[in-house]
Amino acid sequence: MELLCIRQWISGLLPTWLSAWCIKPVGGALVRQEPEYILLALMGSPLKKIMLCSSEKEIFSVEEQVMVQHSVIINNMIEDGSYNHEESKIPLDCVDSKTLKKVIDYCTHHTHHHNDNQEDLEAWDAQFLNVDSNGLYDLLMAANYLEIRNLLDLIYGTIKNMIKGKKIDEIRRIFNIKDHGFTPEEEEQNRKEYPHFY
Amino acid sequence: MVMVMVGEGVGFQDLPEGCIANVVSLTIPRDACSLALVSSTFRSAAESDSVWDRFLPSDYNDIVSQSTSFSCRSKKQLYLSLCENPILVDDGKKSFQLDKAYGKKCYMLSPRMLSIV
Repeated sequence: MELLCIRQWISGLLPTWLSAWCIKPVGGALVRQEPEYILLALMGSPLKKIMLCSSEKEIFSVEEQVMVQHSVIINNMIEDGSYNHEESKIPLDCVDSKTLKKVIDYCTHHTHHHNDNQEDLEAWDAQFLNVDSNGLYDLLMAANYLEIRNLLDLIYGTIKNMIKGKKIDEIRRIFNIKDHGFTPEEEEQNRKEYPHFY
Repeated sequence: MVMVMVGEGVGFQDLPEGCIANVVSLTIPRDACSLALVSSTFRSAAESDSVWDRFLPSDYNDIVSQSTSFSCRSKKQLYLSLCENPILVDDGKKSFQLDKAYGKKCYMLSPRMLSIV
């Protein structure tokens, strides 16, 4: 019986007042935990894990609920049954081990700390994105591939802040754009028409 | 504020146009126009309908339908047109246009709408 079915079955049996009583310590704070997970833990049933395989063939085991909550791609694979828990690993050929580990950290933190206050989450996100631009690029490509909306929005916002108010020549340096793709005539015309942007 | 260290060998030049468009759509119309000058890929992203659709007010279809003289090839053209050519709305009682830099709505009321209380 799949985890989702077990959860729904248990949810149907529980009285609604029980939710208020289901709290557990997570990272030093008391967090409300879905009662069905507590019951599963009490029954000795481990949370289901899935295997993700990086481009360097390194396997990462991660809680299914963590990835399903964040990655549309992985959620779809689990829901449509194309992922077999006993045999499969999900190959992520365009994500290297270092980046995949960071993506898993992000998803895991946001699942387990979703009740934290906004300031703490933002501080954690800021620390998480304290990387060089190569690292940021790799995270963006991974989040784009796995369709992790909140991570994508976080990275887009960061990139926007990197270029806000900057001149064209500086933006080209930030993005390492050596060939802008304009003809010399176009570039000259642009510089003449909008000198204040350069 | 997140600080990212910029270094050599950055891979951003391979950023897909869709990703660039998503970044541009978080800025304001004035910045989008300047970002179109960065490179031909940036220009394509910065002028895409997906970006200018976000700069247009959410009810622009209702506003534009009150004028018969609109046919624009792109959302950017529509935006610029709404900035440069005020249109009469609300049965001619108000005129509407957009502020060019920020995309804010600007209404002018006709004297018929004013009354002294």
